[in-house]
Formats: sequence, C-alpha cells, structure tokens
Amino acid sequence: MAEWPFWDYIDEWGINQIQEWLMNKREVPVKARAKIQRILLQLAGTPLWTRPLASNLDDYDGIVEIRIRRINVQYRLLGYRGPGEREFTILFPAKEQGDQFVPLAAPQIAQSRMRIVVADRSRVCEHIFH
Amino acid sequence: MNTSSIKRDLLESLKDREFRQAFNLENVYATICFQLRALREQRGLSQAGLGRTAKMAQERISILEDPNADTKPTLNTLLRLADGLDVGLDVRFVPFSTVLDRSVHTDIKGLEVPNFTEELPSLEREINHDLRREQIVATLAQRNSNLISGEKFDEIRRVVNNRELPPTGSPSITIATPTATGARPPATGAQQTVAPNQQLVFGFGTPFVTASRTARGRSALPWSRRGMRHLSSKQSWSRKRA
Repeated sequence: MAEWPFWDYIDEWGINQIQEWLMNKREVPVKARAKIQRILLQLAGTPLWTRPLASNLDDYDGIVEIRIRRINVQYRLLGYRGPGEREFTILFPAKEQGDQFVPLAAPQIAQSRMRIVVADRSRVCEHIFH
Repeated sequence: MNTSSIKRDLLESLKDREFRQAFNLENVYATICFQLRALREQRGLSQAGLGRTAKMAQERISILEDPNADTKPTLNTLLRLADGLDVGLDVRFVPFSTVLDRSVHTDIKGLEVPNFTEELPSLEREINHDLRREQIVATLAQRNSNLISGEKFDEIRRVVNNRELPPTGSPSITIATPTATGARPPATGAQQTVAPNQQLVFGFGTPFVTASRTARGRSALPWSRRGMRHLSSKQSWSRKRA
C-alpha cells in the first residue's frame, strides 16, 4: 500500500523506542498519538514530502524531520530515508520549543542511530500504528 | 507493511473511545488537507491559481493544505473549494470500518478526482449501460409476469447485473444455468442465451433463473430436463409452451 513504509528504531535491548514513546501518555497524550499516527499513514502514501510537514535538517546530513503540531506542542519525528529504497525509519522522537529541539541533542542522537541502522538492519522493525 | 496489519493495530487503539474520537477528527482534516493538495497538483494549479478559482487568498489555500494549521475548514469553505475544482463533495456518517479502510489506503492517486467535464463521457456511458440493463430486466419480467415472483425478479436483476452486456443492437444476454440441485450443469449447455423477446421458464426451488424458449416453442435447454429429475414431487417446474 505504501509509497514510504515506516520503520521504527530498536535499541540494543530490543525495545522499540518509537513505540515506547508513543504509548507513554505523559509524553504523547492519546489525542496527539491519534494525530501522529494519522499523519504518518497519510505520508506513507505520499510520494513527495514537502514543507511544512517534512523537511531535511540542513546541518545533519540525511536526517529528515516530520513536523506535527497539536494544540501548542510541536512534535518532531527525526528519521532518515532507509534502510531500504523508498523506506523511512523513525529514529528519534523529539519536540521543539522556542526554535530548539527538546532534548537539544535530538539531531545528533538521530544521526548516531542512523549509522547504527545503516550498519545493522536488524535494528529496525515495522512501525506499529497503535 | 501490509494494510491488514495496520488495520489490526489501529483497531486496537480505536477500542479506546478517546483515541477513536481524536482519530475520527484527524482523519477528516488530514484527508481534506492532502486531498486538496492532490487535486490542485492534478490540475497543475499553484496555490494562488486555486485561490483565484475558489475565490480565496493564496494564504488561505496554504493554511487549508497544512494539517498542522489551527484553522479548520468549514462546510461552507469546502463547498466553495468543490465549486472551484468542479468536483462533488460527499459529507456523511460512516461506520468505523470505512474510516479504517480509507485511513490505510492513502496513495495520492486515490485522492485524485476528475472534474465534471472530464467525468461526463464516462458518466453518460455508465448511466446508459445501467439503463439498458434495466430495460432488459423489465422486458424479461414483463413477458413472464405470470411466472415471476418478487424474489425471482430480484434474481433476474442480479443475474443481468452481473453480466457484461453485448454491444448495442444485439439485445441478448447470457445467463448461467444451474441445475435444480444447485450444482452448475456441464459446460455444454451450461449457459443459455436469453433475449428480451424470448420467454423464460422457471424451476422453482432452483437458485437461478434457468431457461428460455425458442421461437418455435421447443425447449432449447437439455440441461433443464436433467435438472427436473432432481425436483421433488412437491416442487413445481413451470415451462410455458406456445
């Protein structure tokens, strides 16, 4: 079905970090999760992603941010186009406050995770739309 | 990632009323945002171009295409956009199965819609085709009104509707002909050509309309005799002779 199937990053203990974050109601309230999942479904069927919904992070080669806002919270899903052709992996879920990522090191973490996934494809699993 | 597993995951979440309510809302607005953009690009229009067509400012179109925007379109706005794009607008309540289905089939092609002028030739063809089917059903029913119960009439309609119609000018259609036991007869003689100017013979208790008569009044259906053997004495087999 999807132009861009989504994958989630799995940490060294085998935990799906993206799913953990999404299901944590303090981090992501239920209504925000509904919006994030619905937007991801739509992006999965969209061949060309454009601003303001998605953009490349200029200073972090290969990292793409998906921008989803609900009420006054700006969610930033950082990921990269891979590991396969026409696939997208969500590497690190962050937020943005006052033009800054929270946590501040979110892009660096995403980049280091991207290197891990590039080297070891088993560190991703299909995104759970849950 | 297949649609069934996505649906299964989503269904789990939809069991939570709060998620269900939010997903419903996001589904409506996300679809509108993405579809509006898909329709605009399908027509090769810029945001300003669509704005001119729908009598709205470019900024407004930009906001309407942004799923993160605070401003949500009203029904009136959607009607203006539909008018500008010359497409229909269908707002209705649906079961969640429909919401689920549409949520997982999000490819851009599925969002594109032809405008009325583009759609008109195929629309006319489709309606004419349906009219011809209806005419055939009506003719068959009229000529056999003494034999057709309401249920049988529905069966004729169903059989005719499931068949490709021959080109205009040759009014006959082919109807599958099962035996009285419900099993389809052998390939030879398994199908009969039924034209509106022929009469039908029905085997009551059989699942389909099953027979026709030749112009000379002789049964043209060898299988129907085979089928008759399976009928119990209480079941009737009406065969109208000339």
